Amino acid sequence: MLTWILRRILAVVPVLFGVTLAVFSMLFLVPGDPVKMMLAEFVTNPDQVAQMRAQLHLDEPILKQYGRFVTSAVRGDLGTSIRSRRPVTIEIGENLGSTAQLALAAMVVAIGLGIPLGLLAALSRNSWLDVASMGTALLGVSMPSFWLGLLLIFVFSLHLAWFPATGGGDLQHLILPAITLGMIAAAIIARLTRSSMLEVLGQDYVRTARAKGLGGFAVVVRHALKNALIPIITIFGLQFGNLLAGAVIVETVFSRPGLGRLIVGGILNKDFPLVQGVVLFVATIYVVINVLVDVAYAYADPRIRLGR
Amino acid sequence: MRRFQTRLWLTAVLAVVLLTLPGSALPTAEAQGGGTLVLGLDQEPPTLDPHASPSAVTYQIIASVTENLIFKGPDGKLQPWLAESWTTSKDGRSVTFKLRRDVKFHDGTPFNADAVKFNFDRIVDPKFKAGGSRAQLSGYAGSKVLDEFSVQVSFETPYAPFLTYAAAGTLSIVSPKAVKESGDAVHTRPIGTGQFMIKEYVAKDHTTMVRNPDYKRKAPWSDRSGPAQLETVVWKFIPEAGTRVTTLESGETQGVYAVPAQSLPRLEKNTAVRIEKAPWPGVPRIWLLNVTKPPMDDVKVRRAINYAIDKEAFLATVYKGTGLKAISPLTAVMLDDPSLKAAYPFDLAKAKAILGEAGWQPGGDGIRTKGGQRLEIVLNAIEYGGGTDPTAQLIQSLLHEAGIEVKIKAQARPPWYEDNYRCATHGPVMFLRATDPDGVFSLFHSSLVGANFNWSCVKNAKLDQMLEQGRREADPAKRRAIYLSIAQLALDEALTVPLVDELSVWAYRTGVQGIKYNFNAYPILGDATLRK
Amino acid sequence: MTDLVHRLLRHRGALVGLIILGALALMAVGAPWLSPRDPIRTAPRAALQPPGATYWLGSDQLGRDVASRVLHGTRISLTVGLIAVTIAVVIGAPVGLVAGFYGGRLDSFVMRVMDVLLAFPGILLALAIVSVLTPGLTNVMIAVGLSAVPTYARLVRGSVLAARENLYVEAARALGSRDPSILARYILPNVVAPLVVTATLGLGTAILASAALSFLGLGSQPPQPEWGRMLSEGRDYLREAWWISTFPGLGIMLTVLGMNLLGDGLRDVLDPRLKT
Repeated sequence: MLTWILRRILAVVPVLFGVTLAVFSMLFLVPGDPVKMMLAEFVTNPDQVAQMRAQLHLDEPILKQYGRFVTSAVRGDLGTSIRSRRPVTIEIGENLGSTAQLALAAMVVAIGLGIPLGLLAALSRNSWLDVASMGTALLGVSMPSFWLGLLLIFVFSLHLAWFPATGGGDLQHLILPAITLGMIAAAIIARLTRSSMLEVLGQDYVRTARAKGLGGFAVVVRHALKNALIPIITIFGLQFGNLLAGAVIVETVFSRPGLGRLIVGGILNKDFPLVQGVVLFVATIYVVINVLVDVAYAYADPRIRLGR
Repeated sequence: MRRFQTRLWLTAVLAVVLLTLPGSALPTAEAQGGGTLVLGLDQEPPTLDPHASPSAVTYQIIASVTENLIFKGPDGKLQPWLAESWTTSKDGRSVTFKLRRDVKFHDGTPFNADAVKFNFDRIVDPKFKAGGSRAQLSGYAGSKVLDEFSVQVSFETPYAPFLTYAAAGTLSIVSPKAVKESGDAVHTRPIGTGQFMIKEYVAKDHTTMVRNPDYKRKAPWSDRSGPAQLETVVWKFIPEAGTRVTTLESGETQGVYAVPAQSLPRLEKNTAVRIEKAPWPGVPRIWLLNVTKPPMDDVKVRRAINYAIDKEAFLATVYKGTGLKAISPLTAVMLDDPSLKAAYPFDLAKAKAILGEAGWQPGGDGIRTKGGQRLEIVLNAIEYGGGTDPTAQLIQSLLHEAGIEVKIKAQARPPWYEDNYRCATHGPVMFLRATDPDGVFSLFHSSLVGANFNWSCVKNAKLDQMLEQGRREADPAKRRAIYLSIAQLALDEALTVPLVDELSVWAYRTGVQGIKYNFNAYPILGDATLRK
Repeated sequence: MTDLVHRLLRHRGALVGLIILGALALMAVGAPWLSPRDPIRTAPRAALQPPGATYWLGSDQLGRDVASRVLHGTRISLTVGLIAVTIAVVIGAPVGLVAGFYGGRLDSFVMRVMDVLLAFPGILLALAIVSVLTPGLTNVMIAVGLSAVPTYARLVRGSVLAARENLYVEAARALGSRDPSILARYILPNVVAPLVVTATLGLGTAILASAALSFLGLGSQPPQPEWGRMLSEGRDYLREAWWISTFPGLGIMLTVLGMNLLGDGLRDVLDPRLKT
C-alpha cells in the first residue's frame, strides 16, 4: 500500500513541473509588452518601465527566469501583485478561506440533495418519480450557474430580502452562493448516483443476496451502497475541482471575496503575477486532491492497488 | 378585583400609547449625539492617502478626516479653515498663510507651518507617487516657513488656481510624523485634523471612522463648535448598484452614493428615503476626440460627430435623473454661457451633410466610404467586468445612424490608460473632477500629450497660450473671459464631444439629517445626525 | 445506419433534444428574418419596457429589442460551441489516436502533457488562456476548445487501446495488414461512437463555458447580442427589468438541455451496455 502511494506521488511530480511550466509561459504569450500593460496607470517616465522589468527579472535569460519561478514557488513565494503591491501568497491567504467555505458548503448541498435524489430515482426506476427527478437533474446540469445565481438574487435578495445579494463573511452571505454552486453539482451527483446504483443493483452478488432472502433495504444499504460509493468518491474529487472552478463565477455573481474574484480581477487588470500565482496554487491543490482521492479509492477497492 | 385589573390594563395601554405617540409629552430619545451611520459607496478607493489618490472615491471619505487651509462651499466662496487668513503677493507668485494655532493632528502632533511645508513638498517630490494632487501644484517653487504659524507658498509664475486647489481634498493636510513613520499604512490610515479619524480598513469590504473627541473648533460649514455628532461612520464598498440600493431600502445602510438612474423612480416614491443631488464641478462626462488619428484628424468629421450625438439619448437612459446636458469641456456650474449652449444642437441631417462635404459618401452597408475606405472609429472604453459602459454603446448606435462605424475597445483600466497615452484609439470617454476651470489645462495643454489627461492629443499653440494665461490671470472677470474663449475654441475645433454634466446623487434614509457638501460635491459629516 | 437513426428517433429523450435543437437551429439561421427589429439598434426613449405587445420580450437599458437579441444570440452561441468543439476534436482525436495506437514513450509523453492540462480544473484553463489573449469571442472559442483537448485525447486513446486488444486486429496484423488500414477498418469504428456522444455533450459544456467567460467580460464584445454578455449587462437592472437577464439565460439552458438530451440519447442508442 505504501509503495503504491509513493509511486502515485512520484507520478504526480512531473505533472506539477508541467503545470509550473505552463503557468510560467503565460507571461510570454501576451501580445504586446506585459510590463507596459501592467504599469499603464502610473507610467510617467520610461525609467519606470525599465525598473519594473528589472524587478520582475524579465531581462534575464528565460531558463534562469523559469528556475527562479520554480524555486520561489517551492519556497512559498508566488510573486507580488502589481496592483496591490502585496505578495500573492498574502492575497491568496486572505481569500482562500472564503472560497474553501463556499466549496465545502456547496459540497454539503450537493451531497445532501444529490445522493438522496439519485438513490430515489434508482430505487423507483422508470417510475414517474425517476423521470421527474432525473428531469430536474438534467435541467440543473444544463443551467448556467450565473443565471441561477441571478435568479436566486432576484427572488431572495431583491424581493424577499431574506439574504444579502453580495458580500461575504458570515453564514447568511454563504447561503445563496452555496445553493447556486451546490445545486448544479447536486444535479451531477444525482445522475451519477442513480447510474452507479443501478449498475451495482444489477450485479450478481446483489441478486445472490436477494436470493438468500435478505430484505430489499438491507441489500441496498449493506452491499450495494458501499460499492456504489466508490465511483462517487472519485467524482467527489473531480467535483471538488469543478467546485473550485465554479466558485470563480459564483463569487463574481455575488461579489463574494475569494480566489475566484481574485483571478477575474487580476485578469481584467492585467495583473499577470497575481493571475499566475493563483492559477498555480489552484492547479496544485487540485492535483493534490486528486492524489488523495486516488489513495482513498485504492484503499476502498483493493483491485486498484494490486494490479492494473 | 375585576375593576382594579381593568384599570391596570387601561393604564398600561395608555402608557404604551403615550410613549409611542410621536411628539408626546415624554422626551423622545433625541439624536443628540452618538450612533453609527453606515454609508454605501460604489467603489473601493485605491488608497486613502489624499496626495496619492487619482480616484474621486477617496475624497468622499477623506472630506471628513483631513482638513485644508481653505474651505470652498457649494456657494463657491473661499472661507478660512486651517488658515485664518491669507494674502497673495503683488506679483501673484506667492501666497502667505497665517495658520490657526489651536489645531492638532489625530496623532497628537501639532499643526503648524512646518507641517504645511512638509505636505506640499511631499506632493512634488519625484520619489513620491502622487495622484491628482501633483498637477494642482504645477510650477511649485517651494514653501518658506516664516514663523511657527506663517508659511509662504511660492510658484515660478503667477498661479491663480492655487487658492481654489488649496481647498480641494487633494491638497489637504496630513500629519508629517505619520507619513514619516507609518510607511504603507498611510494608504489605509491617513492622519488628519478633521472631525473623524480612520479606525480600521478591511480591504474589499469597508472602512470605519470614529469621532475625534479632541475637535474643539467651529468648522466653516457649521454653526456650532465641537466634535462631530455621530460616533461612528462605516463606509461600505458595494460595487453592484442594485444591491447597493437594496441595502438602503432594507436599512442595512442609511445612505448610498451613485444611485443608478433606473432605481431613482422607485426611491423617489419611497417615503422613507430622501434623494440629494449636487452638480459635480469640473469636466463633464466627455468624449475626447483624438485629433491626430484619421479620419478624426479632419475637423469636419469631428464637427459632424458633434451634430450626430443626441445628448437627450443619454439623459433618457443612463443618466435619467442623474445628469444634465453638457455644453462645453467644463460643466455648467463652472462655466455657463449662451454661446456654449447654442453650439451643437442635435441635427442628424446636418451631420450627414458635413460628412458628405468632407468626401464621405454613403456606402452599401450603411457605413460611409471615401476612396475605398470605410468610416471607422475605435472608441476606447473601460470594461467593468460585466457589461460595458452603456454610454459607449449609445455612441456606437447614434453614430451608426450617420454612417460611422464605431468599434468599442473595451478593456480594463491599465491598458485603457496605455492606449490613451499612446493616442492609439480615436479617444476615450472620461470625466474630471476639478474645482477650478484650470482643470482643462490638463485636458488640452500640449505638454500633457502622452500623460494625464491630454487624450485628444491636441497641440495647439493658441490654446496653450490661453491656458497658460488663464493660470496667471488673477482678476476673476478676465479669467472667465479667457476660459470662455478656451471653451469656444475647443468647441469650434470640435476637440471633444461633451455629453453629460453629471450630478452627484446620494440617497439617505429620512432619519439622516445634517449632511453638508463642499464645492466638490463630497459630503461632510461633521454635523450629520442619525435618528433611529 | 438507418437502423440507428430509427432507434434514436424512438428514444424519447433524444427526440425531444432533436426537436429543441432543430428549433434553435431554425432560430439561428432565420434570425435576420424572424427578428422584429435590428438587434443592435438602440431606442433610448423606449428603454426598459416590460414584455408586451410592442416588445415581445421587453426592451433593454438602451431600448434594444430583447427578442431580436435573443434570436441573434442563438446564432452566436451555436457557432461558438461548434467551433470550440471542432478545435478540441481536431486536435485531441488525432493525438489520442496516435498515442493509443503506437503506445510506448510517445504515449507516456502525450498522456503526461494531457495530465498537465487536466490539472487545471474546469474553466480555469480557459481563463488562463484568455487572460493572456485579448478578450473576444474568437479567443474564447480557442481557449474553450484547447481546454477540452485532453478530454477527447483521453477518450480516443481509451477506445483505441480497447480496440487494439481485439483479436481481429492481431489476426489482421499477422496477415500482414498495414497500420493505416488496420486503423481505418478496426480501430476507427470503435472510436466514432463514443466520440460522437462526447462531442454532442461537449457542445453543451462549450456553450456554458463561453457564455460564462462572456459573462465575466472576457468574451463577446459590444454590441454583439451574445447571451452571456446580455446576462451580465442585465444584472444591474435585475430589480427594474428582470427580462433583460432572464431570457438569454433561458436560451442558454434550453440549448444545453437539447444537447444533453441528444447526447444521452446517442449514448443509449450507440452503446446499449451503458444504458441504465
